[in-house]
Amino acid sequence: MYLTQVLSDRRAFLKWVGALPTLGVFAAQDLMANAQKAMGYSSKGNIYTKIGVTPIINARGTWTYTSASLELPEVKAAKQEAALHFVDMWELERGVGKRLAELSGAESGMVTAGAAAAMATATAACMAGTDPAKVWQLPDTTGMKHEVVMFGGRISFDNAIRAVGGKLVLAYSHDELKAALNDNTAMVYTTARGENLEKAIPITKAAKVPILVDWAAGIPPIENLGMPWKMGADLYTFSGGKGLCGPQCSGLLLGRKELIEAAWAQSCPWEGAVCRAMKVGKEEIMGLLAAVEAWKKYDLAALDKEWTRRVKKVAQLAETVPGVTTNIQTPPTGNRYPTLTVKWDEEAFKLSVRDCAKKLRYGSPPIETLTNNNPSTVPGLVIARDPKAPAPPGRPDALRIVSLTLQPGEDVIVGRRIREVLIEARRNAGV
Amino acid sequence: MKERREFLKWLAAAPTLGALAAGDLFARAQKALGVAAKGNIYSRIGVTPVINARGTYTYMSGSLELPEVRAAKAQAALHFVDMWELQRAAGRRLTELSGAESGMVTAGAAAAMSTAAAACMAGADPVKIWQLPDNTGMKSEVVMHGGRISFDNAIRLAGAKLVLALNLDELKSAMNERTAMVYTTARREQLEPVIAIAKQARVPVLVDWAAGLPPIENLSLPWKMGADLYTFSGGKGLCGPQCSGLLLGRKDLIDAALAQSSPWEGALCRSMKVGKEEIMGVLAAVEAWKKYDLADMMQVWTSRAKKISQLAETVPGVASELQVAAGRGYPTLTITWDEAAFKLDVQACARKLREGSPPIDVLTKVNRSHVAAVDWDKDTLLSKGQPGPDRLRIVMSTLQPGEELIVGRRLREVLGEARKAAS
Repeated sequence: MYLTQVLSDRRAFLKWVGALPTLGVFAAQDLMANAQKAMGYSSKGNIYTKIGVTPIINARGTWTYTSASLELPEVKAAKQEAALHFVDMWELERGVGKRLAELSGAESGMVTAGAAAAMATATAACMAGTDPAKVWQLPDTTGMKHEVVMFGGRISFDNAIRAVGGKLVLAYSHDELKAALNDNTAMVYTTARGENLEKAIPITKAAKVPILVDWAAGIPPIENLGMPWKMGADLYTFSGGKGLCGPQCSGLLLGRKELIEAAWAQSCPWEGAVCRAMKVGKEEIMGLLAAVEAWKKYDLAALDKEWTRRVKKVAQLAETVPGVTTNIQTPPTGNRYPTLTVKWDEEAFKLSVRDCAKKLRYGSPPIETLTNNNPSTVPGLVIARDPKAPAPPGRPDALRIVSLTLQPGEDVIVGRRIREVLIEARRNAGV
Repeated sequence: MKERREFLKWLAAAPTLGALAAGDLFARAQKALGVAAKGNIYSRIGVTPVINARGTYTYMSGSLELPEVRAAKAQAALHFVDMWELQRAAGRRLTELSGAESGMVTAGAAAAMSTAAAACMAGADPVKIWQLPDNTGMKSEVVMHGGRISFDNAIRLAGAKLVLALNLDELKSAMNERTAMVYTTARREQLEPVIAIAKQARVPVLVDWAAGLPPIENLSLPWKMGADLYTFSGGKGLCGPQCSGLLLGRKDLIDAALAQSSPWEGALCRSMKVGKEEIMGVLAAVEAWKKYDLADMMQVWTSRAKKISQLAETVPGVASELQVAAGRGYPTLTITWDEAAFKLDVQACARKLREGSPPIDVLTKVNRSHVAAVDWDKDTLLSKGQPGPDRLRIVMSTLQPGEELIVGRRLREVLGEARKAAS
């Protein structure tokens, strides 16, 4: 009887008492049925189950492979309304650019098909400008500046830059950045933040080379919408489908007016522009704008409290298993949402983080959690790693629950499942 | 006799003119377009919606999503899913609907071109996928049957080198061991020999019928004809999401195409992202067209076109003709007048329609969305447009209910004014 086992430990008993109100929730009703109903698994099914796709509980955060984020109600409403009228896409671009400028403080802005599309568009803009012959000539860069300095090294999305004709030059330090800038440099790309970025911008300014700052997962807080501009960035981008909770296939490119105009010249609806394939619709454009407007009104402190409450509930349930500890932290850079780490003695439990994540994923409903493993990395990328690149910041693998993408009520389901999986492992291991 | 003919035209137009007189058409039009006092989502940021009489051009924001598409997008937004699982399931359903071996949803037909080219070059080899657009060690030539097109940078950005073949003989001799893919927009009997030549050389052919739906029967036609890969735009006649497209064809090639696409990090086509909502939206569009009765729709489009004809033809000297181009799913109305006598050419008339209120965009030979260098005149730096005489055309598929009266009235106004001023 595992209950007696659980209660045998006094500390565990106190945790049990702490979790009682939460445990009561699933004693009182059939949680699974509720969850299934909430997720649309009821007899009637939902739009996904009809084609054999099982929705998942996303406890991993805004990864593209877990379909990023769920659109805010404001975004859904804007997309629906935008679908009712025809508009001239150039006029729409200018209208949205003006509004984004008001909201961000940057000179201008545009909506792209995502942050990767923004990388491609920015690179093409910095190489071809608005010269129609050059626009049509890309990705052939003959007669154009075409080197893109990757400050911080290569990233898994850099084929967005290579596709439009950019040649990568790697720079890991400020000195290497300075040395890399020459007459062929079209742009500097970086994901740097804070002091690292503050030191990089004057170097690019002195060389008169535009810098693209990629803070794909940088919103919320919405204050970041104006931050790179204040720091002197020429161009910067955010993903629309991450923390912003706009359309999954949208992104923001903000910055200097002349560069945004050049970026428009590389984009849809132009036929013959290199980024035409990275199409974004009127619905997605208006949807993303609505997301930015919504975040301007949201109270992040209140949201933070709600997010924390959700992961706390998961923590309480997980900690009823003796030997399990948790902590809640908000990452200081990107993806700034309360994130729960669940720890246990992997050897004693005979259950690694990877195995636990797998069990959660293959349960019903499936739960995707955050671990060090990123299944969406193209394997060739690892094989071709630059030997000069500094080793990526290693952190021991851990099971993490990202609060932002957890929907109301899912906290209890996730907590219960983790508890179940860990108890089972502990019992099997004879702890 | 001539006057009698004009009188008869008036007579024919009388009920339509009556509809004009009966209400404040303009106010109704504005309301319908959402530019009324309260405004709409676009007018609030200073953007004026347009009556789209030009068809599904991307610069005119493609098409308006079907109600089924909007509903599917809204429902799709409620759940998280695994994007690989979703693409595979959407592919399975597309297979059932099309008869092709497999399928996937892309960010549009241009994205499908990139994805197909990358798939034919790198296959599913992880090292090659990450290496693209550097094509070292891969088959790298794409034969453009029919020559270059204004979207070919979609193929070039994947790292492919274009080889032009303007006829079948050139196509045959263009094939070699470096050929990764053949690209063509050919239709019907022109397509058959292209496929035969590609098959013989064991080179996959991508058939681009971006605007080929409706009729929905075309969804399976290229497969039946032996195409390895083929694409349709989701935001044209299909009336799915503007930023969506279909790529259908052989299973091994679609598997390779998925390996080049989002959500993979490190895949060449990651930047051509398509969301879960758009995937479910375009699928809903295909399902909807399977149920629609095109003959019914044709009748509605034709009766709307008739109203425009009637109104325009009340101006003496104006004629019109309704046509359905072979293989096309919707009718197009051509309006003609003596441009010299009216002192009004097609471009000037189109401009007046566009600059009026509400703005009306019509189809002419000039495509404003061509990057100038695609087809410019080196002296004027202006787009030359398609060869042949210019004509003012009204594409019926994008006109919304009631807009036919507004368009007819405006045409009558502009042409009537020009005629008066010229006499």
